[in-house]
Amino acid sequence: MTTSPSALVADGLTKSFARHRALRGVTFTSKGNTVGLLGPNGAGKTTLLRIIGTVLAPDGGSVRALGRDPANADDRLELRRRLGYLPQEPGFQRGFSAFEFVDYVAILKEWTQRRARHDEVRRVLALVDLSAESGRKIRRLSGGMRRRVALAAVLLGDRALLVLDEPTVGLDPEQRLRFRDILSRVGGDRTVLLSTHQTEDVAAMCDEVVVLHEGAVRFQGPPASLAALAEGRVWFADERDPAAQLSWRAGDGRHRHVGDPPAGATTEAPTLEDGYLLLLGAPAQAVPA
Amino acid sequence: MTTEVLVVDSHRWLPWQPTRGEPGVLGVLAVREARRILTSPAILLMAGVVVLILGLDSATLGDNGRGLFHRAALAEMLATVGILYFGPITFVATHLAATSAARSGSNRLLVAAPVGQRRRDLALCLGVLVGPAALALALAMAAAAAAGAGHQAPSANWTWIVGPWTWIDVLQVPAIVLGAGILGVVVARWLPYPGSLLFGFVGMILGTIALLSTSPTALRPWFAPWVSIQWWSGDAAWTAHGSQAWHLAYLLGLSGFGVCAIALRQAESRRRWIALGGIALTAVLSTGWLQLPLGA
Repeated sequence: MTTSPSALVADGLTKSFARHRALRGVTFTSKGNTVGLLGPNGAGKTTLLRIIGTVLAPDGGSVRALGRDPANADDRLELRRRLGYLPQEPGFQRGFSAFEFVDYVAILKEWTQRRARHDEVRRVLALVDLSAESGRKIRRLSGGMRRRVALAAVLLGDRALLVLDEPTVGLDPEQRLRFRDILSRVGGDRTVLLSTHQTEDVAAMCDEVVVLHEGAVRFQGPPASLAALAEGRVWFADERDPAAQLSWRAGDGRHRHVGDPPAGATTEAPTLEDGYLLLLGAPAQAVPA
Repeated sequence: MTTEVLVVDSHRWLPWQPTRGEPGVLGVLAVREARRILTSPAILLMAGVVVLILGLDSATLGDNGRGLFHRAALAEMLATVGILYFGPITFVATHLAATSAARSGSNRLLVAAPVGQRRRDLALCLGVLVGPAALALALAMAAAAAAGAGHQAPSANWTWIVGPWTWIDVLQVPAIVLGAGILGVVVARWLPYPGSLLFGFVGMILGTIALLSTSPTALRPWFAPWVSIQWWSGDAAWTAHGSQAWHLAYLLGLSGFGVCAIALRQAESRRRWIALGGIALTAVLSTGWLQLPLGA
């Protein structure tokens, strides 16, 4: 399966909930295979993912995913056949085991042949390292395991587009690394759009990043370009510099600063997080002594 | 379906072509939903309680040296479960099944699946047919077989006549269970609020009682979602002139209209379902008229 070079195209997307404008004309064209969506709480990430995931209709503008327009019923059905959508807080029907839940989702994804479906359910449960727990009731699984059950359901079949809303929330560091491994294996020539607050996840997995802020796109490009926004603007000092935009005390007791360095300061190589923080212009925060 | 794949191991993918005679999604999902309804705690718990109570009841009523396992007592028990309790229990079980995704939050994930809410609801209705309704048919057939032809009530002061059953009598039992199950989905979709289960349940029971508690010669009882079986009503006049066959058609028409009402809850293809709903409503009104003992 080969996805289009521009698997995701959003043009002037707007969406309001009562008086709150969640999206204010979001426009971007994604060429990446794994696209990270960054932004603070309330930036509109979940709303954008729900629109691309065919869950929500925009008030204005248009979106095309895999060349399909979700506003059209036939396109929406075809898109759903090629889409895996993981919501921010997926729930599970009471009484289902992990296997039963993923099997149920597989039926809803039109896997009608019992043997093929069960083979596929076992495969995705193995992929998320839940083979041993597949017969356990979901309500008896830990939060991280439940998250992996939902991820297994999303990975069912040959999905050309994966839309994942904060997929690493609730996962411990080992599970997050495992998730990165899974995504790198299933990614391939598929398009993956994932929102996260974890900039290190984006740096590790994504070849493109989109930053949303207050319902609009503030940045789009490779992660290295976002990090480069902080080039020459990160430095260490023994004392906190009140002129810095952000500063915190590192493990060695020195203060790491982001902002406009004073004359003579020795700058450090920036991270993606530095670029992201500078882009959003976060105010300086007090650092406990 | 050519985009689906058959996976042979964790890392390899093969194109999968559907084979001829492959079961449809609705059929597969209906069987799954039937199993879910039949294993619902509501059905298991209430069926257990009902069977226990009726077993004790039958043992008491069926003394006269005949005991619990006398065929007339057994017929009475099976018929009572099938007619009196199975419908309301099925209403509860299907309502719970219909609302489980929304209550649990799994709808947030399922909503993006190719099989949308309407097809899931239709599968649930089919699940009522192949699950509880089929079981009710089996219960009614067992009751009819146990009753035999012309057996008298298990107690001398018991005024109801047990048997004989006709096929129309038998088929009315799954028809009311089917209708009650579909009504559970209708209430879940059109009243998607907390408390709708209790509201719908009480409304269904009180509405049925209100229609039935009139004179046996009145027309109103024929419009109740209820069986019109002579031995059950206890009065030959009740069924003497009306048509039980048309009453069965009336019950099935109500179920068809319920299915259309469920489908109309979703925005897509409404015209088609409005047309089908119109046909179902016409059938309900026609059979509702034809069943009446107007010549009495």
